[in-house]
Amino acid sequence: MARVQIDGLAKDYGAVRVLEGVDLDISDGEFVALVGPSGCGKSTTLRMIAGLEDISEGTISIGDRVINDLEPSDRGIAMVFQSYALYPHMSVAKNMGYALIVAGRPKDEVRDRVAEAARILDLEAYLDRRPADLSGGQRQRVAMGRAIVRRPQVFLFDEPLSNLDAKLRTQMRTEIKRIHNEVGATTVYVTHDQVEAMTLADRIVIMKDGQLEQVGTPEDVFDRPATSFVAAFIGAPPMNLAPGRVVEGGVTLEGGQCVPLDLSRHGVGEGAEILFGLRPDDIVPMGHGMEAADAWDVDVAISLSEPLGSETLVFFPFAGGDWIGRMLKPRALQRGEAVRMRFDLSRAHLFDAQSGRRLTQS
Amino acid sequence: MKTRTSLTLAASLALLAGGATAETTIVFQDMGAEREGFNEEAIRLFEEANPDIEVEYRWQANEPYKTGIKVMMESNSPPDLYFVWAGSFSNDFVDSGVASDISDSEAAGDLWTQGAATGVVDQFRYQGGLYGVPGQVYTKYMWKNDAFFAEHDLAVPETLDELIGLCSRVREIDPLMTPIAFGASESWTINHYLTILFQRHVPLETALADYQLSAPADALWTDPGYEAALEDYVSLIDAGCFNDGINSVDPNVSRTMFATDLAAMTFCGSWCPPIFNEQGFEGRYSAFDFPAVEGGRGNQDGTLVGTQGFQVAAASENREAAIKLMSWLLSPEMQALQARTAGQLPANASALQDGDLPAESVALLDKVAEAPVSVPPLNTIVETSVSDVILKSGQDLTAGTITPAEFMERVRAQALDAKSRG
Amino acid sequence: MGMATIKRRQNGTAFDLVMVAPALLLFGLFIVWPAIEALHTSLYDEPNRGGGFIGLANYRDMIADPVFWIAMKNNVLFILCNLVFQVGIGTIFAALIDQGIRRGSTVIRTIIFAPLVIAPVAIGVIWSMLLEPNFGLVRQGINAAGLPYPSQGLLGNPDLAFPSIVAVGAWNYIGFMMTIMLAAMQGIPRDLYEAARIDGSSAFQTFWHITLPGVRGALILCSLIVIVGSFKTFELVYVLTRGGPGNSTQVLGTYIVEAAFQLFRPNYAAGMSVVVLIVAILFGSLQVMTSRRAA
Repeated sequence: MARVQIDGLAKDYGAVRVLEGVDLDISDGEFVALVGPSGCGKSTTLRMIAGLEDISEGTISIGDRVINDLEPSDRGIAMVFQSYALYPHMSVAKNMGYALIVAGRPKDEVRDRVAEAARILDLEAYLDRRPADLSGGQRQRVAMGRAIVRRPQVFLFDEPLSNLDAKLRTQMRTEIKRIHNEVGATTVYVTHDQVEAMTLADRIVIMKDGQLEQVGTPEDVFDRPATSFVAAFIGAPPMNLAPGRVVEGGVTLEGGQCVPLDLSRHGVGEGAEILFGLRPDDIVPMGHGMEAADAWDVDVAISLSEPLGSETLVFFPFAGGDWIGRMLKPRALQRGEAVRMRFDLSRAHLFDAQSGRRLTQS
Repeated sequence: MKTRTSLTLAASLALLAGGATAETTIVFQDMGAEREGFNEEAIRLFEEANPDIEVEYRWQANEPYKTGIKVMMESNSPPDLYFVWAGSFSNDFVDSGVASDISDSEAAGDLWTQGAATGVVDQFRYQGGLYGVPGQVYTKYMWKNDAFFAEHDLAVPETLDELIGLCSRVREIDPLMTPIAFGASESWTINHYLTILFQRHVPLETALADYQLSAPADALWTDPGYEAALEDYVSLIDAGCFNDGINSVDPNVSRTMFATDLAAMTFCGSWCPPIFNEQGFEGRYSAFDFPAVEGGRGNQDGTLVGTQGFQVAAASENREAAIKLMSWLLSPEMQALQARTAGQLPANASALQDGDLPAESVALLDKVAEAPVSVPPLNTIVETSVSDVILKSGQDLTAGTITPAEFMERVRAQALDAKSRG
Repeated sequence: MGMATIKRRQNGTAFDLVMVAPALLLFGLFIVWPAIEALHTSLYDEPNRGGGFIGLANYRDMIADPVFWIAMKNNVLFILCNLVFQVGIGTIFAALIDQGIRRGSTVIRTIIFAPLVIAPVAIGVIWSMLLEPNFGLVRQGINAAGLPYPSQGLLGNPDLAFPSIVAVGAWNYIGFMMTIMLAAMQGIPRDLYEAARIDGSSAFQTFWHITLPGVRGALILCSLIVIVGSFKTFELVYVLTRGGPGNSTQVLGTYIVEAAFQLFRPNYAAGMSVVVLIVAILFGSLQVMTSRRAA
């Protein structure tokens, strides 16, 4: 078990720099998720930790060792691939034990360690099968088994659940969490699915265009997004955002709507160009029981509603865009129905219009 | 199957075409594209002279002909007149009873007998009958590069020892000059050396009895002259007379080597002068006799002469017309025409005129006429399976993988086997 | 599935027969009938020896014929050598291009593949020129390097002729084998190799445990192509050495031709063709069996 330190990591493909200035300190046993849109550099970062990509600049250490120039197999890592990358011509047992077999470990040891991993993963009945004879979920578990057998200091996951259907994905998410708790190894987990990141990770690393946007606990990144990008990326549905300008006692949004705000909380001066943001959770129709610390009511016409069972998403035009609110009692609303929406402005976020950086202080 | 069908079809077409003018149609099957021009002209003249006979002329190239004619002769409608190589090839047809004895034509003194060379005609005599008539002869002589011989004051070798001495002389003069160009990727070229060396070492009677398997089994191929001949052949190789890699040099390459001043001599057939001349070597070479072998019990001034000609099918329904055409093609006049248009040595040179053949070819004809004894190449006269062993073992001998004694053991074993199978 | 399919299958027998009839007819006419004819012919004596029925005498002759066994031995050797050189080296080349060489791999591939588009007869002619013992390029190259050249040349030396033919054959077909193997190797997902790297698998272990099992089907296919191809090989040997020097490079293909067209033993040759056919059928059924198992 070990701490992973990444300092000033950069990656060039020819003349193109795809990753820059990545600093990250992952403590022993921590579960860190790397999220971001395609091409943000999250997989590249993971593959550099694994040793599958060369490091152009910076250092990566695992434990006390700088591992930049070590072979993947010498880094004390194990990796679970998106495609599982199971060896198709080997049995489940041989797949899991392959690393030990090629390292020339005694047969007894290989068998015991495979058996132990199989027990943890509930794979004991399948040890003699070939990967082709397994279901998607079972293959996923074999891939994890292969990682566990190696007893790595660091587990690396590269979008491990994206080939599974929605139901299985939820199941396996729980499984991964359980195994992490059982094995306790430091884990770096790449995903584009923010739900996986939020539910699994101790800390989430949000990346964009090869750079870190924010590193924080799920609560941090949800409640205090460091940039408007993080605000829009984390949360489903994402945070409502509208451009505006700071005036006395509030902000004026596009379309002339004036939102009364306690500007002292946001640390911003009059005339500043900003983005005003509020999560759908903080916009509720009147009479649907929201305890708003700083309520502001607006009459809107519903453009669309999406009943999701436990709640209904309510779409309405606001400040030149389509905003989303939330209604806890599921009910289909008619298009064009007039509703009074209550905004909880104590939960409002302001971001700098240019840099996208968070202005709100708490 | 297929050949039979097309033959039947061709025959019925010929019948349809015949009808009105000609009463008789005969099929003439020849070999070789080089004779097409001559045949067409000769047949045109024949049909003018014999308006009641129509000739259906066909030809095949050398290799396909060898099998093609066998199939045709086994079919229901064999050609009336067909090409053969004299020797075991022509005798095979006599054995299987498809060739007709034409002694009556000879007795009647038909056109072809006028001026015919008896020795050449004799090659078609078999089992007391005459099964065929010669159309062309071919022979094989040593050729020398006249300029090279003159420049270095080299004498034409009279004996094998002199030839071997000459080889080292040539190597001394110019290490890059090959004394004798020799290509045996096709092993019949080795066979021609052995034909002559056997002739030098083994009495003719003995040799013919061995070749045709008529000698008693305990005497078959036992004459010590054979092994001595093979040893002479090996000594030519060992003396560095030849170029490298004999077994994989194409005969064409050896001819070109000689014609381009890369070799002082070569052993080449009557078909070679046109090839040399094509390389611009005209007038710069001449033939000499293959040297004698001192102490040899065979014939020391004999030569190799092979004969090609025609046989009449035993099954022919128009035997008389077929003999008429054969006789016409082999008449002295047509033989001269053949020399002019096809460049082949005529079997009957009695009407040949100056300029009909290249000068070097004419010189060969004279030499053939002077030679007291001639033998056809081994592979046309030796029983087929034994001949194959000689052909194959020739390459082994050349490569040095077998000794002359082992060579003869193989030949004797196959000869006994072939004789026992009858 | 279900009733409709079953029903149509029952009613369609006649229809099925009509559909396969042309193929069956052609197959029968051009494959089965000639084979039966060859078998039939092989039971008779040669036409110029009377052509009577002689039962299995031709086959008894074959057993006693040393040249037949030389040809058979050469065929087996040819198969083994071609498996090693064509499939083996082709696979190694494919692995090198698949794994390592990035720059110029298209050029290399083209160069290696190019000989395949040349007819074997032309290959034979080209190489007999290159290997010409007095003036050929190979001799000139070897001499220029200051090395001695065998005085019988390569094709003229009974010990070197066979290896030379194998080498030319390899030059001819390695590209083909490489292309099949390369296609198969490129079908192996990259992340299997990455997983193996992480597992600490050496280059050789990876080749042995990941690449080879992954291309097993292609390997079997290549091997069968080589086995059947080598067994009925003819053109290359015929053009390069005609089975010589002596009978040192004789294979069944060249010996059948020689027996039929030079020794005038067409019925004996037909008998040898029957033997080749039987062996080819054995290998063919092996191919069908393995492909069924794979499917």
